[in-house]
Amino acid sequence: MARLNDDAQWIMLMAFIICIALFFLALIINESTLVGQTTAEGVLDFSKSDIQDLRSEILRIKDVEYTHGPYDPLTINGTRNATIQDIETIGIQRKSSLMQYSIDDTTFITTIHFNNGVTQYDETL
Amino acid sequence: MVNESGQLYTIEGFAAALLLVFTIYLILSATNILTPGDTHITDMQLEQLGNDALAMMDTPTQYVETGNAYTAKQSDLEKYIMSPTNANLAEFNSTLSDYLNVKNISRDSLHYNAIVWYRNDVTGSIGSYQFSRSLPAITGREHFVRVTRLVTLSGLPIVPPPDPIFSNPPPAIPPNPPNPTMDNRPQTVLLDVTLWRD
Amino acid sequence: MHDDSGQMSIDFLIGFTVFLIAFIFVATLSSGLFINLQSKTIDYDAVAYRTGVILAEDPGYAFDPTINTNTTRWELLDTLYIDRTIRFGLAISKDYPNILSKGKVQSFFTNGYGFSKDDYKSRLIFGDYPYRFNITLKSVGGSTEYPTPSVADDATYLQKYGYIRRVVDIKEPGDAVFALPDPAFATSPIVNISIGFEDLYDTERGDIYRLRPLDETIVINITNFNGRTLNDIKFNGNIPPMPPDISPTIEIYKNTATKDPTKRVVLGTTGINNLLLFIDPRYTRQFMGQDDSAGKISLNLTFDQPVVSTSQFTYTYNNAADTVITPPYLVPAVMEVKIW
Repeated sequence: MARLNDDAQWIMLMAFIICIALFFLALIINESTLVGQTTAEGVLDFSKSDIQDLRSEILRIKDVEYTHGPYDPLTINGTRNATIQDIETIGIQRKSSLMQYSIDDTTFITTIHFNNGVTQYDETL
Repeated sequence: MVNESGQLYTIEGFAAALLLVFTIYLILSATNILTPGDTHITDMQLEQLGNDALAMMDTPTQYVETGNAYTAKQSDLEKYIMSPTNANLAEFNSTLSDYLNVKNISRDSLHYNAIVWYRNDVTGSIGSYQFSRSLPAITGREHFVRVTRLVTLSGLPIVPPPDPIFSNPPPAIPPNPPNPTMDNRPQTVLLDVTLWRD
Repeated sequence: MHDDSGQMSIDFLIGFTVFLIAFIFVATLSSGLFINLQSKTIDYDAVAYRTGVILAEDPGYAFDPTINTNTTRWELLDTLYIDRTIRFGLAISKDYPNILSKGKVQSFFTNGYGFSKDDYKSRLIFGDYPYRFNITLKSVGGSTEYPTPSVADDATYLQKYGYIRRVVDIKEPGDAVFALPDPAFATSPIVNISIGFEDLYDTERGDIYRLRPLDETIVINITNFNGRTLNDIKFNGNIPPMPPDISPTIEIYKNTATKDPTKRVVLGTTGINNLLLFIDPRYTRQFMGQDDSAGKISLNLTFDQPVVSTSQFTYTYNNAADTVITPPYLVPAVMEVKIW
């Protein structure tokens, strides 16, 4: 033959176009089921309860050991520092998050710092 | 009569068909069917419920005028951990079980296991002891969820000795701390509860 | 050269047939691609969770035309302006999540304003899709004060619904019980009850455990009458509207422990042995402004015969010889939200 007969290439081309269309369609449909998954995972990842818990606990500690404390005037700094260390060590070892706070001895101004790698929270009361 | 002028069409047709079938096979075998467990919806519901239940147990139901600042706003959870007598542990179990399982119609079947983590100030290390767990024996479980709550204590939790009513002189029974390596100081501990649906 | 005979060669036919068979096979199989398109059920859980958070942790939001600002006290809006509520929420404030206000719970569940289901949806559920909802609240200890109120769209729900359960505490405002002395010692027919806002504004207790007279109903119980008649009542010099004019007012009942409509008291009612008063915060606000840290309410009840000696009753958090006060306390409850 002088040249190849390429009249049938249109079949090939149509098939190819259909394949690509199917591929994209399937991709979109596949991704749509992740809508619910990422919603729930997003809720689980944001540590709302941890931050609320930490905040209410620090306010309780401020009430007990600072505003109305301390329990043992002889170990005033020992008790306060020990509690700060408690929360920080428990946070790192059991909660994989950094939970720090500091309460000024006279003005009782409180700063809270929380960071679990995904969320960071800072507050001054 | 039969010639080969359509051969190319045939070959192209076969190639196109193969291409289509192969693509569709790939796509269909790659489709995921997600169950609600995969989407973590049940985990999220359990975790929210567990956190709520512990938070409500850690909120005192009323303000007590007498006593010091610790007892004025002492929550039930602090009371149960500070003095883990049999009566208090039974109350902890029934309250937590109610908070987790009460529904409008019928009752849910959630079980839990509670551990207390504390820090020893001298060594700086963390220790734990088993606090309580739900009563029926563990048979099988679904995927579990872990919820925690920080609890403030005013000292060392101890179990007071039982009333020595029948002996004279009364025997010297020392009070029993749940764990001997805990410090006797105001401290913050972590109540770690694992929850699952039976 | 053109072949216009209209007949195709057989090879072309075979090729094209094979292609077409494969294409039909693919088209049939692609209907199986849509197995996973149940995304609505996954969405229901997300909407239920969001609704649960809005109800349990948000105090609500409304625009109050009487003070011309935004407020979280949507349950205290005048009936005329209740549609200015932008969002429902049951918490007492955003600083105290999961602590619900009894007034908001009652407004939300009893729907005295006649909100339609669409009103609820546009203020609670949001979104374009017409979700249906069923929200119930049940107290954990079986308290009879909360006989499981619920607000629902359609009574029947499908198998697949989004669900969330929250554990909450409902703040009860508590009450005061004042006991009158023996009638032999009575000298004056005017009972004076003094409610000092400074007494009630205790920052030690915090918002959860103190009575907030501008937000919560004040409940007063006066006992030990002997068949008396109420002649007059004055709230800081004003006479509250009496039934049948029930606008925000002081509701008074006799000889009962609950709000029994058959035992309602108006001026001139006789046969009183016990008096139960509910002071609506909307009524208090009309005269006491916006600040609950200062001010004083003086309630004067005049009867037909001497009932009290010269001492007056004060509402504080401490008990006295003739006073038993129940300060605000929390009732645990479980709230369920179903969306479909």
